Amino acid sequence: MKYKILFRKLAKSKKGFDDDFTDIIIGIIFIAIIFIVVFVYITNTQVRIEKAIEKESNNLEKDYILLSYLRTPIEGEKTTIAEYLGYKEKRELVNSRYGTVGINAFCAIKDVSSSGIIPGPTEDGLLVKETNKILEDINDWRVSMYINRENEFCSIEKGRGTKKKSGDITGETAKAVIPSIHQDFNIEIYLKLNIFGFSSLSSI
Amino acid sequence: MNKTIKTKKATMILFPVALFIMVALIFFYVNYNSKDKFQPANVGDAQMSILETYQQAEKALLYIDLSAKYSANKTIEDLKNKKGSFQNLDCEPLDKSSENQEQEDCIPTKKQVYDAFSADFNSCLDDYLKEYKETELKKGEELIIPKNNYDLLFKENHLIGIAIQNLRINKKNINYSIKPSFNVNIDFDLSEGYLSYFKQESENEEEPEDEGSGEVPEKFSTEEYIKRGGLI
Repeated sequence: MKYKILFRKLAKSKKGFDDDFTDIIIGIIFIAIIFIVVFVYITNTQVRIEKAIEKESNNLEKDYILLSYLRTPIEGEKTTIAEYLGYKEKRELVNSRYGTVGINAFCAIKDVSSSGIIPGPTEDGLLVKETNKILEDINDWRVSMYINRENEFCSIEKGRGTKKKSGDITGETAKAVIPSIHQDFNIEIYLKLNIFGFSSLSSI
Repeated sequence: MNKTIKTKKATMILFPVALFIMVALIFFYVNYNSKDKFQPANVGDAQMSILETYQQAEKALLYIDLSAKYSANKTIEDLKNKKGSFQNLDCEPLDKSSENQEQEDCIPTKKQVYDAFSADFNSCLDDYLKEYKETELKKGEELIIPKNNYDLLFKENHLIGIAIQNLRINKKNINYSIKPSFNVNIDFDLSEGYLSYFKQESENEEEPEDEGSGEVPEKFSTEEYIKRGGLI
């Protein structure tokens, strides 16, 4: 009842809440509130759009990086990375991490811990060295190689962002398939990058 | 305008305007938090799809290039060992006037060797291409790599495969095609390679002649055969 009387009084008096100056200030405050809310909404939407686009373009860049990596020639050899793997027999690929009699451990990773009864490899294998050299400008990556998507025979990585568990290569990953000269299997190469660690690719 | 300001008639609507603004802000806030209505839906989706399609085609082309090189190597081995299509090639006798011409003295023409190479190569390459699967395609999308698709050309130890049909990727709103031709270094020239192999064979088959055997029958030498338009 009280507010009804007040409202009628205001309507009849043809005045605002208070003096003219106060009314102007109130109007300005309302305008500012509207402006801020709409601006925050638009900016937030724009940020979400930019993040979505950045994520998609990073996926495309991974494909480009992977193809460039496979086409890069190995220093001292007459072949590219893809051909080097393609000319290997299945048993050579399977034993590439530790090597065996007559088989080169081209995927061996240097054992820096020097712990354990059996000492690990004393230096990196050829493919590991070449991969580190080709992808040296990228901070955080992981390259995994499979025979027919079943057996992982080689995994090379750098940085702390990528997970170290074998088999965890799904999600934001680029994939390529290359043939083997022995024709009874294909080799699948996966490349996973950490988005925030990506930098220039002057070496590719 | 001045009269309105002086009488302050417009100020009576200030309260309802304030109320309306509060309602509008509440409405905005409620809808802002509703993800279903205000998601940035499919921004750049069409453009990304085109670029993805291009990358998928590039991966297929890499596979084709490598498969072509391996197929060429295998076919060259078959040629050297006379396996596959090179096994029973018809040949023209070196000396047509000779009645007792043995099969081993024949050499096939360049066209026959080329046809045999092409048949073996395309067969081997098709076996590779059958095994290629693009797993990043969604339902309803397809990647088509044509089989038996190449005319071959040998140039300076390179094998050039000129594709007859295009490689195609068909998606919902995109149809992409590219000619999957290749140019691979095989370190082998078909005419000279086969020629040197034939030379080696014919040298091994020639028996030393006896001094007292009488007249030596005339035979074409390999160089003579070439001059007469055999392998060239």
